[in-house]
Amino acid sequence: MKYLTAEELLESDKDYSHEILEKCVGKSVRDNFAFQVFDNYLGGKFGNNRHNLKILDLGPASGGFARQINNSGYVKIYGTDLDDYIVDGNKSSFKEFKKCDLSLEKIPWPDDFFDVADAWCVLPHLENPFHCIREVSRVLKKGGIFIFTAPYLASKPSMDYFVKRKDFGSYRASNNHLVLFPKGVVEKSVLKYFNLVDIEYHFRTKIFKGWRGAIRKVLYKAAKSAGDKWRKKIAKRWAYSIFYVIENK
Amino acid sequence: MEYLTTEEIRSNRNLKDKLKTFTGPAVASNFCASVVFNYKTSFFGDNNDVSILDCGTANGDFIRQLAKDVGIKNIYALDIDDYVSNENRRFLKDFKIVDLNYDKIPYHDSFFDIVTAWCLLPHMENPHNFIREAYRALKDGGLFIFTLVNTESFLTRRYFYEHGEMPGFHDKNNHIALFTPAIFKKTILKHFKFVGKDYFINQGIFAGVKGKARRFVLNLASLFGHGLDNRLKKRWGSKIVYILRK
Repeated sequence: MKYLTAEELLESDKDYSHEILEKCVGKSVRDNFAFQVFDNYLGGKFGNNRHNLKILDLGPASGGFARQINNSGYVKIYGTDLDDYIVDGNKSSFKEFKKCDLSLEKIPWPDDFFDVADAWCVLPHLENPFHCIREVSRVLKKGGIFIFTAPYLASKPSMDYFVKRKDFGSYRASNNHLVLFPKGVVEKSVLKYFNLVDIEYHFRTKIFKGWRGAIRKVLYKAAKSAGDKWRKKIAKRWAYSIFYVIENK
Repeated sequence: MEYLTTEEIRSNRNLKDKLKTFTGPAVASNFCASVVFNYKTSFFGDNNDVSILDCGTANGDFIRQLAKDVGIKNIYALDIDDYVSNENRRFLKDFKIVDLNYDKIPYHDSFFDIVTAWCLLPHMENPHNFIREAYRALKDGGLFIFTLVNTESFLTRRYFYEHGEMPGFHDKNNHIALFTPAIFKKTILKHFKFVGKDYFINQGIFAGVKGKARRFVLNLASLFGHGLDNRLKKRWGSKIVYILRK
């Protein structure tokens, strides 16, 4: 999807954006990785209390992730987005949905309201993700979990691309990723309000295609069986996106 | 300077005192004033009645250079708070406090001939609001002149490759908005036409034995012409200056 301002998304290019976003389910949601990370960390933190957790799904687009977690027993799901792109089949997964421009408006719920917030590749699309981060910190309870993703800049393919072309493959002129999150920017702007719990890396399954892919697959299997530390090392090298699991201060 | 929100910047007394005496290296070396002089002359001739808006003006040293060295009469300035020194204030026609991340530029459409912003965009949470506002406040054919951190330079790319970290965007300073060529193209060139670009080199790069060798090579390159010196500036420049037209 091309870069559009909030005004264009809501007015002149409303049909175009609805057509795309009503079909949009992110890759990490589609291949269940987002759900695994979400369920794993929430299970560790809150135990089997999933039906009581108040969850804020930021920028749910078509609502694919909300449906996944709803099917797994999470029932108090709230959503907020610039416009309502949720398809009919997923609407019932939400307890409540409100429109909000996350770059400049207040998230429309009171302080300390949520236990968990998630944003799957939402922050890189916002003109002002730093405003949104402060708002998430406000609406989350102390100790609440925020999981967000952004394209990972420091993977081997991403760094090779940058050295060669002076750009990042995930921030092309043709898409609408706007804000880069190198490590230093995350540390000063996000970890000012949150404590880092963990980092996960997601890579695309297409890297297992072809003969090189077959070698990678063997390597990845070996790393997985060697333990989580090795699995992450390999995933970090190939990652397309980085998952930050953070806890509200 | 560490990363601070607008609220924190405005309530920080020490920071206010510091910014009242701070002049960035590109302004201190007269580089910014010479860029404006060159492009003002190319596009507006000797007419010094042009209206210039300087955004993020800090202590106002650039305004003084504009007035005294370039001869501009109609200078306006904006900043997140008032850091302008008494000495420099007399060169201003008007000064207003605004948060350019959220607020409108407090002048009507097509008011200015030139808008400048020296190392402002990388500090902004929402530079896109400011870019749209600069476009609105400029007259047709007006110039938008600003600097960005040079992420394209060979030194930056090599550092990123070795450390996985972007120099100039570490956790101790308050640069947060990074513009790669593709982001620049889709967000800024959506509104403006490209006129030209230049590079600012921090003088630190010419210190020591290696630095002296660099200086020698750069001087030699400028004698040869063929854009050789520009290629070296691109390689060593810490900032890119963009000159765009509405």
